Amino acid sequence: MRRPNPDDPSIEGVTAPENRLINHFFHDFKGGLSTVIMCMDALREGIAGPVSEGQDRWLDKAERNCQNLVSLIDDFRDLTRMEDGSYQREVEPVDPSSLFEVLSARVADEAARRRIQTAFDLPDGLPGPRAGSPLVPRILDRMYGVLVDCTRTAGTLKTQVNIRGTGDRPELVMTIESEGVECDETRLESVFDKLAQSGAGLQLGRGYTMLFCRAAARYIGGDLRLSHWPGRGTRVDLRLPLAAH
Amino acid sequence: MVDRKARIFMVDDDTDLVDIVRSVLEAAGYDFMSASSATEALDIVNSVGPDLIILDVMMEDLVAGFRVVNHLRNFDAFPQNKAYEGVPILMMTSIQQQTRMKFSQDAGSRLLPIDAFLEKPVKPRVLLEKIAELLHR
Repeated sequence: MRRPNPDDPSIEGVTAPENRLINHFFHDFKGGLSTVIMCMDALREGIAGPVSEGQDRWLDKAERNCQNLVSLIDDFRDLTRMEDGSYQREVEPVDPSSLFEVLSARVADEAARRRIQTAFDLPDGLPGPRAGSPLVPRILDRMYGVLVDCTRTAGTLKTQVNIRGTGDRPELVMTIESEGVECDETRLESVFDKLAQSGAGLQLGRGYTMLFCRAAARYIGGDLRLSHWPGRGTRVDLRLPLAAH
Repeated sequence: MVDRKARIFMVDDDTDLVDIVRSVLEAAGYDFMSASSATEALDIVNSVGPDLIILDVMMEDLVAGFRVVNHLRNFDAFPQNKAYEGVPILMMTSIQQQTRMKFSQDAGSRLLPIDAFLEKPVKPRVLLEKIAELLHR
């Protein structure tokens, strides 16, 4: 019997046995990838002798791609856990200031390579560190990976950050404008449709990444919305609670 | 802290991973031995005499690593293993902490009584730092 996640009844949930099967598959995928990554790390650290600059560059590319696969595995697996209700809510320190420093650094290389202008417009006085959800930095990391990919060469990727709410319940409210991939308003919802994702014509997002981001945002009480930016690209409205529920 | 080379005992069924960890640890001056299942690990742990154990979870069954921990830390049931009381156990697995793997250093704790947890993939440098930390504390 299917048991949809009560936090998001719009999502058709996976069953517990399906979840276990998925977990086993993912354990095996991730185990093999982890070994590959560790081999490349050890090579880069000189375990088999000096590595040339050129060799290091190729090892870096291979390692980053393996890390992306590991992230996809983690996201898909946790999505199934959110759906079947077995995902455990965790709490860890979340510092809004360092969140955006990390994000800037995260997008810097790819943005420079493709001459994308990035900007984070932050409000004065971001709230200080607090006990939040580890899903917050993860959603931002994954989402910006997608958005940089979808921004056209020499385009802009601008982020306006605001804080809504005060006291112990502040929320990050972000509007992100990506010049590049355009998607008709009527098709935007298909970005979050698992079955549409598995077909051709992916509008925005790598596979299930945006689907994961929205599901994770809703899981912690936030939301993610896409809208068409006619003639320019796509807008993302993201709302993330900073304090753990 | 031991006078001889510290001996690391790795229990993992991924032989390629064991090979690379062996290379990394031997290059760093450690003595290295391994087992590829929980059953083998419990068979040979006495002859190995480890100073630290690196342990996977899912091997011949889903909870093989937990079984090893239970044998080495549950002194009421396995009093012969009291000798391993001070031997750190570093759990290194692909399973995220989402699997309720909260851990505790207390052998009597209901929580998994291991000393540290690293989620794969692990950078060699991070592994070496964690091992040094566990051996020198």
